[in-house]
Amino acid sequence: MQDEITFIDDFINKKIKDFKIKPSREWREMQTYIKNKGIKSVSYNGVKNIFNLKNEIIILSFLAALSVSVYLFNNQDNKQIETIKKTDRIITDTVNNAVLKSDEKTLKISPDSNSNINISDNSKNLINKNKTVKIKVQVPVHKNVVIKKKVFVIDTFDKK
Amino acid sequence: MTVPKKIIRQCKKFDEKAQEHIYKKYAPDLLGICRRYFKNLSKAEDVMQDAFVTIFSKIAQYKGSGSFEGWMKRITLNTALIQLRKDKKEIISENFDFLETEKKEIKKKELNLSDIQSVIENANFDQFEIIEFMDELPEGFKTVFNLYVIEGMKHKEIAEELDISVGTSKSQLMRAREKLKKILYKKAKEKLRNNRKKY
Repeated sequence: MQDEITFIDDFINKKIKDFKIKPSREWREMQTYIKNKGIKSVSYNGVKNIFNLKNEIIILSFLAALSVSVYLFNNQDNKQIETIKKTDRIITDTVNNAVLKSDEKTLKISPDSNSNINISDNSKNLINKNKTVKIKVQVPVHKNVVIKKKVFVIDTFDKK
Repeated sequence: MTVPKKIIRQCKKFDEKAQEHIYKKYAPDLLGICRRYFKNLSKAEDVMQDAFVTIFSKIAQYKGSGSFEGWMKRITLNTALIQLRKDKKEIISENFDFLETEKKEIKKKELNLSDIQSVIENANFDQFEIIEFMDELPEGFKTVFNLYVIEGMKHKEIAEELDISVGTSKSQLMRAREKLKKILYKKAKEKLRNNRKKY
């Protein structure tokens, strides 16, 4: 009796344990059905692809952040150069009336406004040779606020 | 057959692409389970759809402790059993009608196992033929046989699932085997006879 049981059980089990049939109903039909049953089915479209690329996004974000940091670090001084250039108002012994942009404020540097701008003779010579020179500028914004900046001057003092 | 964790994570967010991926990949397996319990393919597909509804709605409950496939199959089986319980009245009446005639048949002619075994094995039945033969069993026999032999459940579990006694589960299994043996033997002989005619 045991043999008979084993035979039938094993025979059937072996034959149909992994039985599969391709459904006649396509995914769209199934999707409609599950939506009708109140199950959420969200399409992420393009956004989904971003989620799929999680690791790549992390790496790219890191690289982008790094690039931006390096750029900002390197271009901090260049921006100042640009600002000075734009003013075209570099005066001989001081950076008189030069307009510098600091953050969102426009500041005027004037020898009459307690601007503490000292340019050495050596720097003056270099500037006159069209060399770039870095000078320190202290600009009083308010009674108790002074912005300290490093400014590059590439223009000549003789140019007026 | 494994589901990438990423797909499961996306499915937990109800991402339709992930749901589609799971449906397309596993629907044949899950429909295979349903078809073992329901002769009518359309009804089997209905049950499979309900199983997917449960899978997608309760996927957050899957914590990854066991295989995802096993979890889906268990849900599908439960869904099928729920449907069978709804159809219980029909199953029971059919079984009792069958029992009386079957008793007489078994007594009438006892078959030798070695003869049966060799004939059945030589017939080389495929999966679909076996499923069709199982469809000839009364619903109750087929259900108990499937749960015991294919799903590996114990009689106590089967009794609880189908709300029947352990004794009923055992007797239905025994009769299912007896009936299957006869069906297989009969079909195998027919097939072998037809094969001989062809050549």
